[in-house]
Amino acid sequence: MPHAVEPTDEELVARARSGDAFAFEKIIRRYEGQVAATVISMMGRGPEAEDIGQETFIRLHAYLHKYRGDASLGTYIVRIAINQALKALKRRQRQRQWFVRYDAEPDRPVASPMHGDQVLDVRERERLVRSALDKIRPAQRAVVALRMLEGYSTRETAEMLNIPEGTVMSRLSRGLKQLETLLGPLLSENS
Amino acid sequence: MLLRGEKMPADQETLLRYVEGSLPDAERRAFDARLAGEPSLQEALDALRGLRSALRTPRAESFGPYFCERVMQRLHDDGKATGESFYRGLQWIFLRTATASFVAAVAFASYNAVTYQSLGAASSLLEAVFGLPSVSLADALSWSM
Repeated sequence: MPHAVEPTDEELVARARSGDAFAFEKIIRRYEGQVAATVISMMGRGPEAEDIGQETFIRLHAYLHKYRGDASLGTYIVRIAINQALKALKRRQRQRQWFVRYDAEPDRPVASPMHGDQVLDVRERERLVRSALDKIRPAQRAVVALRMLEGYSTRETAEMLNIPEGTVMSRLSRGLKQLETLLGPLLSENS
Repeated sequence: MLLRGEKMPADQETLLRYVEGSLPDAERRAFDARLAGEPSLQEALDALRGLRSALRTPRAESFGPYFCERVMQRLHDDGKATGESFYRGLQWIFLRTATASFVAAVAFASYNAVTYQSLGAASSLLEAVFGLPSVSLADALSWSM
């Protein structure tokens, strides 16, 4: 039995622009994974990440008429998601500054030293990595998330964040240095 | 430790691509040769490998069940709220017009206050602000007769 040919992104965009809700639904299903991976690597799991995911597609729907096809649809959507996540991270940072000085013990390790044959489970490891990422500045975190966690190249990261490649590398270097201090005990467990 | 000795960005990029296995063969061989002769580079490489492995957490694949349905529902609700957005638009225009009017009124009042007082045409600040000539009660009554 022949498989139905999947519509291309261009076809879906054209149909969604003319008001076809099913086409837009298909775009969401096609790119939810990519958006979720990017947003969750920047924000961590939770309702805030999902809000950003929803907002990303709502904005895509609102600005679909402006999409000219210069970048692939996936890149366009991920860019919207990154911008939304960066805004949320900055908001979170401002809110935190009301209660705690941002630079209060910024480099205190998030993990305690390991004892004997103690091994961290996946969830605990993820929590520690998340809390270390939470301590570095949003601009650096975005670079670390895209370049190190999501595996985009330096050029792709620069394009998505609209910054020069040199800035990507310097932010990455500073971010990794800080993460190295924060995750110290976890790193010695790995080595 | 990682990138201790402030490696040049080009080195950092090469280190990353080496760890990721995305260096072309020729560059990889050249980098292997450098690693053999530069212990600090080897140290930076080990640190980067360790950090990369520590950061590796399960990749999120979705926001959870029914995400698409929730987005579509929000779009549907937003569509229904078009009427509300008309009133929000009016409110937006009103607030800006009111602010601009207030600023203009303060500017005129300041101008009047300075001008009338310097001419001595007003006997009080209030009269100056509104640009009123100084008129006594007797004058006013005599004009109305």
